[in-house]
Amino acid sequence: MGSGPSPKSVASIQLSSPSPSPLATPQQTTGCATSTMDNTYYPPPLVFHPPRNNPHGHLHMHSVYPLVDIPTPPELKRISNTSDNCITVLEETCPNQVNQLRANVHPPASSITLARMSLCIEPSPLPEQVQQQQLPVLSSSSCVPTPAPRTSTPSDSAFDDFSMSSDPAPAVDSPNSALPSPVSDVDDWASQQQQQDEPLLPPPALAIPLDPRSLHVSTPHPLPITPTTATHSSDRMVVDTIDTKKKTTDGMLTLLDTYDALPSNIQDYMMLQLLRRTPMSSLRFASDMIMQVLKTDFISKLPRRLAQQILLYLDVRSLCRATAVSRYWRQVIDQDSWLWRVKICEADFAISPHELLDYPAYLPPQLQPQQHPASFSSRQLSQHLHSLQQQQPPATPNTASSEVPSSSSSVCSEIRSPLLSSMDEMVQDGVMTEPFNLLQSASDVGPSYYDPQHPFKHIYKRHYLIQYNWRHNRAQRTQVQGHGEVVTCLQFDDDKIITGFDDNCINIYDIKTGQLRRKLLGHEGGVWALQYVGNTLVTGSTDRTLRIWDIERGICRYVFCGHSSTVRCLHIVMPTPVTLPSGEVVIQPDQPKIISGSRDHTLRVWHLPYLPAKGYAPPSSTSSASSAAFPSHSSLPHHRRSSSAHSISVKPSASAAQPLSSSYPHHTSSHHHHHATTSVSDDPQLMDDYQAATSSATTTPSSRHITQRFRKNTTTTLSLYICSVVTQNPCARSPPMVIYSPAVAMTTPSVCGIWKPATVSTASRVILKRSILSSSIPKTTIALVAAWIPPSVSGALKPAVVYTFCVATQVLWVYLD
Amino acid sequence: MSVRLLSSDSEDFTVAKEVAERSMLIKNMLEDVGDNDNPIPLPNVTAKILRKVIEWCEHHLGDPVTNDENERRNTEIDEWDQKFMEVDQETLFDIILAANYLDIKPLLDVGCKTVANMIKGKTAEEIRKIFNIVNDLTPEEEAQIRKENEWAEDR
Repeated sequence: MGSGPSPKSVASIQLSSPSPSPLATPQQTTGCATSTMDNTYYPPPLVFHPPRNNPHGHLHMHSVYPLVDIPTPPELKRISNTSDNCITVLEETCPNQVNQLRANVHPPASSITLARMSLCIEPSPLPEQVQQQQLPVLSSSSCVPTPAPRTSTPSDSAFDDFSMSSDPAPAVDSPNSALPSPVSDVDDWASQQQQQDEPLLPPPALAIPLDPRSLHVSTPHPLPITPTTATHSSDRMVVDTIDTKKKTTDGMLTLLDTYDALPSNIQDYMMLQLLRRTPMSSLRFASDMIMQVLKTDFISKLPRRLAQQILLYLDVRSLCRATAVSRYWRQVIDQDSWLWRVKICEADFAISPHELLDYPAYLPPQLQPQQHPASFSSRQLSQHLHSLQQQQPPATPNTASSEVPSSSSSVCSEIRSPLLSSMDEMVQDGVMTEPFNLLQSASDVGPSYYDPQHPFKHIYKRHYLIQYNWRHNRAQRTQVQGHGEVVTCLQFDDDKIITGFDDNCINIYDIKTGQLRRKLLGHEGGVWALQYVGNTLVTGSTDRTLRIWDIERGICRYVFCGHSSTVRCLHIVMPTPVTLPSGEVVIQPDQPKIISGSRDHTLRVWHLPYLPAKGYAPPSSTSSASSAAFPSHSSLPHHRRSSSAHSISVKPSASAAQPLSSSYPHHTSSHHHHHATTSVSDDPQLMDDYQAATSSATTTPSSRHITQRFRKNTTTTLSLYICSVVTQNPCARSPPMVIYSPAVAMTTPSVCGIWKPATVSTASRVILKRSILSSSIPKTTIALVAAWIPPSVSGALKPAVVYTFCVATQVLWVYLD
Repeated sequence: MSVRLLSSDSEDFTVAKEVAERSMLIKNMLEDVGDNDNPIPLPNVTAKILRKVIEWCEHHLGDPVTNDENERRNTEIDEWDQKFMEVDQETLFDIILAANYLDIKPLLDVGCKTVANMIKGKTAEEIRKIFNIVNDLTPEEEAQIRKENEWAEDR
């Protein structure tokens, strides 16, 4: 049979299914003697018996050999090997099927005889017959204390080694001796038939054909074997009866040599057999040795990106501990800027660009210094501010980051309004305290970026400690010396604290030392509201005016008159990019604005003047363009220059910022509802808005939903608003609810609603437009926060919103366009 | 529809196409090559590991694919995966490499999380023991590092 043209030989013995080879010889049984005539060799099955040296009898097999019944892993039940030109397949089979063993060999054209071997495993107690046994290639890494009989000389050819080495072990003594103990028996080929005839073969039996040539190849001293030689060697295999008592060290050597020569998966199989007959103590011994070897330093052996992925799953404490593992671990953990940035984001620490001034490479692209590496371009900063605010709505930083490139670029194009550029410096100061997304640094190559000098572990530590100290009340108190009067309002940053006093003055303190830096005098009544942006400070007073101060120079630049009573609160609203429902991105409002609330029951909207800090020269083109677009109205009553000598030298660009309400010169302090209507009547458009608003007055507000979204999307503003209520309105026990009606917003944005926080359904509304919000604001506005809300949130066609808080019980809510 | 995969040690695996396509590498290959009876060679994966990987892919066949980094990061290892990952470290190492090579992100995640869990909450000494790492820091250096990282410990 079989010498097919195929370059490979297949030797297989199967029980349960027909051989995959087309050359199977069904008539053959396992017990067949080697035949060189048809190039097919049918080896006898190998029977593995359970350990015999069990002092407790078979019943307690498990207590001695914990693995005795371990099932053969599926991948070892059928083993196939490929040597140069022959495929050998071994299958574990059931003993009762042994008689149906089929072996197929497909030698190459050169008619090589293949020797194969069948192994039968017999887990159940061993019958006495198994006296004469040969160990097939049992491998053992441990030494057998008893000498093994020399079954064949080393020169006998590797094949002899393979078939012969055996020891019908003397069971017993040392645990290790159990390893080579003869539980597994190999009958020589000749005795094979006899073996099969034995009735005592219980379940599973393994038939393993082996290719002798592969053995030769892997033998340490391979003989120059020709195909003929191989044939010959298999023919020479004879039964070696081994005298148990004549073990020699040769036997051990042979055993090891044979094991070495086996293909690796058969080695696995042999190992399995060994384990089944290994007592617990030896297993433990082996386990200790093996476990050491199988351990792997994942962090240093894996590619760095994968190691990083593992580290990303660790909490910071574990990371810090792990830095002390080894030099390499320390390096990998501490130098990974991405890792620490992710940890900062996970901890929700808000990092301001100020903290990265020394590490410009980690600032987002918009904040990158370009022409002047030493100082940031204010234009980039202002652009970044806008893109930042643009990003805020998305919940997760990751989704936001993916949208940034497109949105920020569209913002950039929108932003080139000359008016805005004059505000760059103020915006710069604003943005430098804005948190930003750490994971989009500009020069970063991304997560794989390693930098021994990166600051993020340090930053994490700082924020962690600050948070920790807050939680554990570890705060150090520094008291700033006032002068006995009531402090009514304040704002601070990392440089200064600005406070307003009831005694007309405004103090600027150094926040680090607590020293009074400057006292701003000018108001003729108590100062009850203030806010600053950049170098521009806005204050409101009981003298019914707002004053605009140059913080750095300490001078009053403007006095805004108009309110007929105490200015009780004010808020500055900065330009913000807003996405319209059409997808268009616009900047709203077009200029920074001041909203002021007063006891005169009005709100007023003013342009925020721009006061550059020292050393900042706005581009001249900017000022001319802005003057053209917004001709100066400095002569108007709402816009009066201060009389100080310095104020005369105000730069042209600053003159572009005049009070918005100056375009309504008749808006005086006595404006009430009917006045507003009067002014509206001058403007048909305004009237339409008013009617639209009143007609929608019956719609039911669905407040909760929108309120939550609002909170989520404008965190900064909202916290300020709560703060305002608490500090300025002690009557309000809890922060008033911010209530929202999308229905109203849909019809017209130029509407305000008044609701009592407790009873939402009793809402009433008023209209207002432009600079004076008047009419039905029933009482003094105590606190106020203005925020510009994108229409995607508000549902409004136009994107502006102002909040006011009235006396304790009421919340006023206003849209401005 | 099934696909044949060839391990580095030339073992031939036949798996359902959907199973094989849990691997983005194979999926892309199949898209490029089209229907083809030839086995896909995977020279970086041994049969032993490939068997494990296929086992995993078969069990997770119906899993929804999530691209949300956070979601993937924050989900715990499920019970089956924990059991699946109860292997020696060398095997785990190879599974991670194979998952990376085959581009099976969820499996890579599970592998990395398993290793991370071995590290979590352990001291440096314990970590060294777990992974059989030689301490190449001098006692002074180690003391210094501990001091630098003291802040992260609970006080």
